[in-house]
Parts: sequence; structure tokens; C-alpha cells
Amino acid sequence: MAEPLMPIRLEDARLMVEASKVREVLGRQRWLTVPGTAPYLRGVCAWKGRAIPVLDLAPLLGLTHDGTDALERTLIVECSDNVAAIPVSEAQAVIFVRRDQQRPPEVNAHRYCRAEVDSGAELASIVDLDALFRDLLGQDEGSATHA
Amino acid sequence: MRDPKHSLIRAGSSLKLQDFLVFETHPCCVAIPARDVLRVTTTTDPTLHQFVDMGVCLGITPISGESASSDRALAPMLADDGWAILAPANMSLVTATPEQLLPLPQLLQIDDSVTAILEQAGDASALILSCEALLRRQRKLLKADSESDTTRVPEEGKS
Repeated sequence: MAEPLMPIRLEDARLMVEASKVREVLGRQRWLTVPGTAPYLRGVCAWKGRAIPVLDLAPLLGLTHDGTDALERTLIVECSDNVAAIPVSEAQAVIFVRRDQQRPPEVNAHRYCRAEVDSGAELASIVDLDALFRDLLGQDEGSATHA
Repeated sequence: MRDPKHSLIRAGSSLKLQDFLVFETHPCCVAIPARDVLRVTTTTDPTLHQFVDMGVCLGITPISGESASSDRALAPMLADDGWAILAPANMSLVTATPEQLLPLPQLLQIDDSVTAILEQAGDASALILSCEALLRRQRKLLKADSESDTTRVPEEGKS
């Protein structure tokens, strides 16, 4: 059975997220920086009449930001009723990836890498948004498996 | 300052509007409910003797380069003992509809001094601060400072 995934790029990093969790792909959004928050929280932005956190995936995935690539797209993702905005460099059309095309993380063994997909030309890691949100919201259940 | 009761509900309208004093600060603008403010005055106001610097409390700085401790002070209605909040000079009055007041997402609920977001023109434009929480936080800081001072003195004396 094939899984719908959305390929995204965060500067040099090739990633994929579950398409079912992406509510919208927007252009660059303005956000309000909130002082005193964790480095992975860029701030807060307004979306459909509510305030949602803006997450920086780079520190969460152990990636380095060189700031050279503009984050022109903003993914609006929803996990267990929690909505967040994630700025990325690029978001592509949804693709269907079979389970046997997914392999355990080896190259991109970051905390929230659920699996890797090798398309031949490039390797992308599938970000486990469920685990990421669970950790961010302090619900430790199951997070140890991703450490 | 207007009577806050009048600023909340405008005559002839069923829409509950709320006034905010919005300050341009870095890295984000902040807003204080006008109903919490007794008057806007200066630091030389003789009735005031304790100040809360919202810049120090929240890690924000005024945009215009003026010092965080500008000579503008907000005397919160909650404080009846001479406490006031120091604020930057660049202030504007914004009237907001209930739809413009967005609850803070759970991930950003750091403490109770930031209560919500004020949305303007489709952007989340300012953090709404609670005067009460700011005063409470500053009092707690002062108390901790004075307690650490009293415990530090004998140690300094020893050395």
C-alpha cells in the first residue's frame, strides 16, 4: 500500500511529511516573535482566525541553518488537533511511496526521522510529525523510541 | 484616559470592542488592555514609586533606540500602592473586535504575563500582556533579590 507523502526542502535537507497532516501550503508568512521561548519556536502567526505556533524544524531535526535559502513556503500541519506553521524552502506535489520503498533511517538518523526514501537521485527522510508534536507538548509517551 | 467601561462597549453596538495600548517594541509589539490602565503618566509622577520595566521582564526592547526605561509610565488600575509599568514612548491606541483576540497556542504559554495575541490586518501583530501578571512577577523578583541580598551579606563579611 502506498503512502501519500509531501516532499519538502529545508535549505539543503530533503524531507517528507505525511500529506494527510498538511492542511495547507502557503507562501511566506509574517510571524510574531515571542521572547523567551525555545529556539525551535519562531513565534506565532494567525491562521483562519486562530493563533498557531511557527516551528523551526532545523533545531528539532539537528540541522544547521545557514540562512542562505529563503523560506518561501509555509506548511500548515495538524496533528491530534494541534495546528502549527512550518516554514520551508520548498514544498512539492504529493507523491505516493510504497512501504517497501521506505527503509529504516541510516543516513539521516535524526530524532524524528521515521524512515528514509531513496529516489535514486536523492535521499529524503520522512519526518514523524506525531512524535514531534508529542514531544513538544510534553507527552512523553512513546518518545523514547525516537531518541 | 477614557472611562474603561465606555471603551469596552460602544453605544448603539452589540459588538464588544476592547481598547489596547500598543507599543512598538523589538522583537515583537506588545499590547496592554486599556481597561487595566488608570492613567498614562511620566516617571516623575510623585504618586508612583515602584516601576516594572516590561523590557526587563519580557526581554523586549523599544524599536526607536530609546532606553527601555523611557519616561512614560502606565499606572495600572490594579496597583493601588504606587506601582506602575514603564513603557516605550511610541504608543498607539487600537480598538479590537473579539475576533482579533486570538488565544495563545499551548506551545507558547510560557507564563501568565502573555495572555493572547492581537491580530491586525491578518497578522498576529502584538502580544497582549497582563498588567497584573507583570506586577506580580516584578514583586516576586524584588522579593527574591532582597532575600538573596540578606543571605549574601554575611558571606561577603566572611571573605
